[in-house]
Amino acid sequence: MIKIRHLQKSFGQVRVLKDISTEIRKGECVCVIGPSGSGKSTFLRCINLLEQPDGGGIEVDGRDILDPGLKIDDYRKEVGMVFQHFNLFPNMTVKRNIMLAPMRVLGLPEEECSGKALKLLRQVGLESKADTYPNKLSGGQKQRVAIARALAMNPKVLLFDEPTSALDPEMVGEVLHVMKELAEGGMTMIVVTHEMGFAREVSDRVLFIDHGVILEDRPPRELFGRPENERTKEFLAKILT
Amino acid sequence: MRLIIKKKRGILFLLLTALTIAGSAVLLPADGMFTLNAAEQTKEIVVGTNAEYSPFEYRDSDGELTGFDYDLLEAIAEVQGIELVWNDLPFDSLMGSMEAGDIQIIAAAVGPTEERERSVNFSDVYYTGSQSIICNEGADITEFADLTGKTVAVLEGSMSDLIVSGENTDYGMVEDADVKRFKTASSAVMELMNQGADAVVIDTIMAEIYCDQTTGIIYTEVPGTEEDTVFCIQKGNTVLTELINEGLAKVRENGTYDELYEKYFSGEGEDTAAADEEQGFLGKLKFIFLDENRWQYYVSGVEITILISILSTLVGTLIGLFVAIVRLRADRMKRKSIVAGIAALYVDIIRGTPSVLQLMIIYFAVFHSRLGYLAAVVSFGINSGAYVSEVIRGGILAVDKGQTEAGRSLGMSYTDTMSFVILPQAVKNILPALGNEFVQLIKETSILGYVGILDLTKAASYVSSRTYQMFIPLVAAGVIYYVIVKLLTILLGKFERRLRDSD
Repeated sequence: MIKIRHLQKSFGQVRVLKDISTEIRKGECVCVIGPSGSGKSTFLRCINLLEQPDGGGIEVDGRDILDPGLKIDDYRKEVGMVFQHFNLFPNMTVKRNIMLAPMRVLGLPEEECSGKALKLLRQVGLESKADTYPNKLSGGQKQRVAIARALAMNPKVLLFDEPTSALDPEMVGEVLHVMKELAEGGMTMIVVTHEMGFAREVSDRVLFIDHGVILEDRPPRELFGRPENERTKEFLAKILT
Repeated sequence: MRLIIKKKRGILFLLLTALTIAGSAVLLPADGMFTLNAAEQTKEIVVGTNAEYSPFEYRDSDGELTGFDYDLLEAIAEVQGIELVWNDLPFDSLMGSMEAGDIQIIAAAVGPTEERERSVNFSDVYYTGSQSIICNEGADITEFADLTGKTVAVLEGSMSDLIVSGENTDYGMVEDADVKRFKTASSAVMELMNQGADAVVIDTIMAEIYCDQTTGIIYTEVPGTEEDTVFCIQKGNTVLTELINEGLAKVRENGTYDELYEKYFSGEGEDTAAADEEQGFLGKLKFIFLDENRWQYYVSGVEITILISILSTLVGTLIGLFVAIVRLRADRMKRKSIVAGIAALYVDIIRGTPSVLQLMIIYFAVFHSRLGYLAAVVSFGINSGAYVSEVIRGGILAVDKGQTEAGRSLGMSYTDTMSFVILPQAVKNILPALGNEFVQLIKETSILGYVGILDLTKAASYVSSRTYQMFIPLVAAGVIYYVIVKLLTILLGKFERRLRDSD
């Protein structure tokens, strides 16, 4: 469904992504792991064009998304994103956060959007918070609202950029639980994460990225069981102690 | 680098020129188009004056123009069947306004100098005055020769100014005097009393009044300085000139002239205000503020100051919002557009030039001395817009970048993200700063007097010139400004705290 060929991206003199090629199939849940600064987040942000790649190609459903003629907003509504820092809109209620894009972008009637928002909130266990403002929510609740907001656009794929890194430890579980349900429900997901438990248990494949290249691309059992690359071993040893 | 600077200057010059020409062309009939035909006179004649020169021209307690010149010219107009419209302007811009064709007559106790004769016609002489020197008691400065090396205060652009500056030597030479020019007679006298000047050279009629009011200063009339006073009429407009001269002769004949002379120059004129020294400080306050309801100047001055400040803030906000969005858009696209270039240049020019010049250019050059309030709001709005645009830009940039990313990643357009997500949050950063801009404007509009608008400062300066009191009327205005600004600042502080609490 998503084909990435020789993707490159530099910030000034720093080559963050050197040569990334991979393919993500429909319904797959792919976890991306690696040391900080390795280029994981940049890789993810290139997929929904929050960063403009310098070279290579990205094809989604047979469409070249680096084509200058592409209508970026039309493409982005098919690709949901969940951020490390939630980025909920503080100036509106939880329900309005979820309704805004469907109303403005898809042009759906308010009532339909409202019903859908409540349904999604039920799905993430926050129906009672519909009329609350984001600043009254805990980190875990905010992130679950952010997931509901992304889902409201019926995206074909969901990107998660370290969704639990900004959370207190006791709230990580509730967010991972929602993500696990999504994965089991067949949602195509790319998850940049440091949660090795989630990667091992839920994902279909794990990419290990370091210094802007993919060093390993294998099912979790294999990667965690017998890592081949020296650097993968080193990384896992550090993170799993 | 040098090249770039040079180029920028060129653009600036071109822009200003273009602006001025465009303004003149759009708003005004060309110079000289307006020629009067006395026989079929239908249009009104616009008279320029400067109502800060009692008893020749000033405003009475109701704020209406009055004075010897005013009454005389109105009497002439009446016998000749002309309609007059009066335009109160700064003295030094009267000639310019006439050259621009905005006024047809100047009635401002003008002396007939050769230099002036090049740009205007003169009427017959209607009054002959003389020059006097005021000095502190015991200073013994009585003739022009005594002024050598001294600091001399004068009314800017007046005959005294010309004499002391050495430009007019008809009445005697003044050598090497250090000239200080003031806009009102009272501030010139104030300068003398504060030892900032050794002497004041001024019309005898004014010297007389000031020395009567104020202890410690004396005046000496300078012999041989008898000078004529005339009306100025648009250059080459002989029809109007003859009309005025004919009328002047008529009012001299029918006794109106003598009545007016008696009224204004005998010292008993009911409109010539006088302080009652006997009554002490409270009596002085009563005289300054209560007599002839002079406090009303302050009330209307405050109204005008606040009204113009509010409207200018509104205009400035609209301009600022537009400029900020244009510039942010260009930054985002990472390419320069012409509109963004002009916007940046606008901010640069406005922030790099004094607001008093902007006001005068817009009022005199673009609006040609018309629609004063509108010109003031436009000028301060344009001025404020440059500052507000930076405030808005800063407020928008201060909203977390993640908010834009969240909006855009949901497929929302830049405009939608801006209007529904970013701006509502930026408003919280911007509103307090806009309030501050309003408070700033309340003080900055104190230059409105330059274009003849009676704001609070001008009102105070006017009361000062009417009462021949220099200190109290100005301090009163200062107190009023301070109270307004303080009250608004406290309100703003409360408002800001509430905004913050709502986060």
